[in-house]
Amino acid sequence: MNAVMKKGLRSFAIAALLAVGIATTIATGGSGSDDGFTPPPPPSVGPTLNITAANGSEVASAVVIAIGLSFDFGDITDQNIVARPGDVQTLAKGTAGFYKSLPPGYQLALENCANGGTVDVTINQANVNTITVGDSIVAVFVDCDDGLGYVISGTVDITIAAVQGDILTDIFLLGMDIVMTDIVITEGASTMTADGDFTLTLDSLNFPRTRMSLSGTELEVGSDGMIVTLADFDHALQLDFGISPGVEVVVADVFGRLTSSLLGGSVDYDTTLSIEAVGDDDPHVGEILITGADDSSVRIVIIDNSHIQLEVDEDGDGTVDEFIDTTWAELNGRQTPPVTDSTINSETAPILAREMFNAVTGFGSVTITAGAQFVPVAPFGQIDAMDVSGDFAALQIACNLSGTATVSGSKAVTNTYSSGDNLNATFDACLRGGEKLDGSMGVSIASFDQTPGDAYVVSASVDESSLRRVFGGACFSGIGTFDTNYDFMFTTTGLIYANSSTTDFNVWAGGRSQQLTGSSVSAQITVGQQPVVVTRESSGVMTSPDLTGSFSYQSVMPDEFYADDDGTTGPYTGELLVTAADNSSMRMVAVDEFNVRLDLDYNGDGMIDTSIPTTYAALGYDDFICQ
Amino acid sequence: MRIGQATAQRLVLPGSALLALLVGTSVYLLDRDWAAVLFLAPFAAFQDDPSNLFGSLGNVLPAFCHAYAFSLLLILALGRTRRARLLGPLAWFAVAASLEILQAESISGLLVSPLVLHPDSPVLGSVFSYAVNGYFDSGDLLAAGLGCVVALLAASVREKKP
Repeated sequence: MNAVMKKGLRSFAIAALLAVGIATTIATGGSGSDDGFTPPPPPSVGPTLNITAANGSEVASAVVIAIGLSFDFGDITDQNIVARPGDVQTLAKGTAGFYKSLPPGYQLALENCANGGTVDVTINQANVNTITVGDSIVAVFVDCDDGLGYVISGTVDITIAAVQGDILTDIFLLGMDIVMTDIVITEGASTMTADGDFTLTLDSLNFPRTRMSLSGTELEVGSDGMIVTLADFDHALQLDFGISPGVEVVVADVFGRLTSSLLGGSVDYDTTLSIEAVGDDDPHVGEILITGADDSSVRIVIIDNSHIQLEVDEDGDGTVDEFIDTTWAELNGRQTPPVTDSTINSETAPILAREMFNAVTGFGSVTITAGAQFVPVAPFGQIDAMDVSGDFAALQIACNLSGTATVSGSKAVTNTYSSGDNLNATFDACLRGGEKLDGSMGVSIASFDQTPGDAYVVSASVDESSLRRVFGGACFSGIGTFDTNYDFMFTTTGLIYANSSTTDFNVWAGGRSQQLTGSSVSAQITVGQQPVVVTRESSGVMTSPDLTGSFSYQSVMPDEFYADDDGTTGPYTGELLVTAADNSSMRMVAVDEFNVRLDLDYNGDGMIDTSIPTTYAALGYDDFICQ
Repeated sequence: MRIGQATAQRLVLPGSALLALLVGTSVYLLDRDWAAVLFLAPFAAFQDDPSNLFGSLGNVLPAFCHAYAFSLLLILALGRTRRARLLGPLAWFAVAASLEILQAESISGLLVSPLVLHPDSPVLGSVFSYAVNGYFDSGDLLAAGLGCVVALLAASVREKKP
């Protein structure tokens, strides 16, 4: 053996010895006694994000939104899986809206969802007459719309983990291990996503107190571009209908870890005081402590159902370094412009109610019409049917009853619309169905999709330099820009989902102008039957020249009304909360299609100080002048 | 006969290293909770209750035996020279001390970020598990030092040179 080889072998032996020595040291945990060492899985690591006054609101908002999303996914699973009293048979509605008796191991064929899309469901059920632990259901959705208000894609895999009681009654416990893969839920303009697994437990053994809890080790959820990962989480929601008749009391307790690449790290969150809410109102009491790196923290202290204080401790010394006043609307991403210099009392309330009623109705009316112009008989629909592409000069279109629309613009391809297409229309007494339009509208298309069974879906930015719309007995004009989504379901009864949002828009109604900022409206319209029913939710801030300052408004119960009202009617159900800068508020509570009640709270203490009965006829339509 | 004696004498040092390793391993096998030892955790279900045969000595005996054995093996690998007898124990003590210090809280805390960046790496997972879940023990450090010194003495006595 020559010297070089000897040297090589020696070096190899030394390296091997060192490697084995190090490996055996690590494998044994480094001697010592055994009480200081825990073998893999890898150690839990503390939160990594430093919480500061600068990012405190952002962190709190991410946690609140993520917790809300997790409950949304629990709700969606709940309403699609669990039988309601009166329904028949057993395990699954198939997460798609149908509920059938199925033999064990039965595999459903691909089925169409009620309003478009498909769902492929596989069910394994030990006993068709009951739910048994181990039963499973796998549903693969493709743009499935079952008329539940949202469209769902992706895969949901559910295995029954626990059953007590009878799910066909109100008293049962149902535990489900759920795996969600590439779930995308589109609800109006909002998109929610989910990937991961969790255990969902629905417990109504103590009915009328029910409890929903979600727990898991890793679940990625997203909403409108924000994606976060929840780890080692447990979210519990208790609903109690028994405390006060007709009132639902909600109590939530949560803990877990949230990681966000957008925030740049992870934080731990934990309710230190249970969160309580009544009905659909935002919570009015509770605290959530969010802890970041080096014990930095932000504590969410709920003051009431609109106001929140954030206590930021940047250095983890237990002393609050910064107090931040915020609102539920801001934390939930429903940011609205500030409300200034306004008050609500018995003198201003009737004027405010009239202005608000006209602004809300008018904004819905003049914005929903943009998407409606893509119906085949409407001007944009007619352009679509022509062999038109590229830049096109003004084309005069005859409206299907009377009047004209002159349309110009650019269109990438014939017989459909696509992203980037632009349309400019000038309407001249254009009468179609119950709608008459005058004025102009510019539409920039963000997306357009038309599939069999679904008339069309269009998203666009719209500029109405001045558009007047007469529909039924109502006349409104709109000036401003807004983003809109319009989904026209081409089914037997027909459904339209539409929503619009604006940063600045002007509505003219009854000879008066109302300015809307940070406002939005979403509506579901049932068409093809009489009467046409509209369900609408609104929010934003309104300023009127007839009133001092600005007012925020928010639907606390969706308005429901007939679209063909004659100018003297309005929502027969619904409630709109209007709040002034000094926290005084007015609730516009629909009594029936003719009457509305104004509940006034002068000092924002949550107590009604006076109620004013009035009618929709009195809210401004009598001196109706279109501008 | 003389050849056999020479061979036996040559095997004294590696034999004592092997014996030390066996003693150290027996501490883990007999006295420790297998579920808390990485290389024994997969077999934890087969363990009866720990015997506590070595008593409190069992806390430091593995560190001593391990250091003694690897110091001797390094001396043998480096060659039977005076330089090797010094370098082997010193090298191993440096390694053992570094690994022990890795378990000190102030040091292990620095390793948290890399773990977050590579959560799925089995090697890094084991290293960080060792560093973060273990704890710094001066007794281990002393035992390792003693093992290295004893290895140096044993090698020197065997070679009859300091």
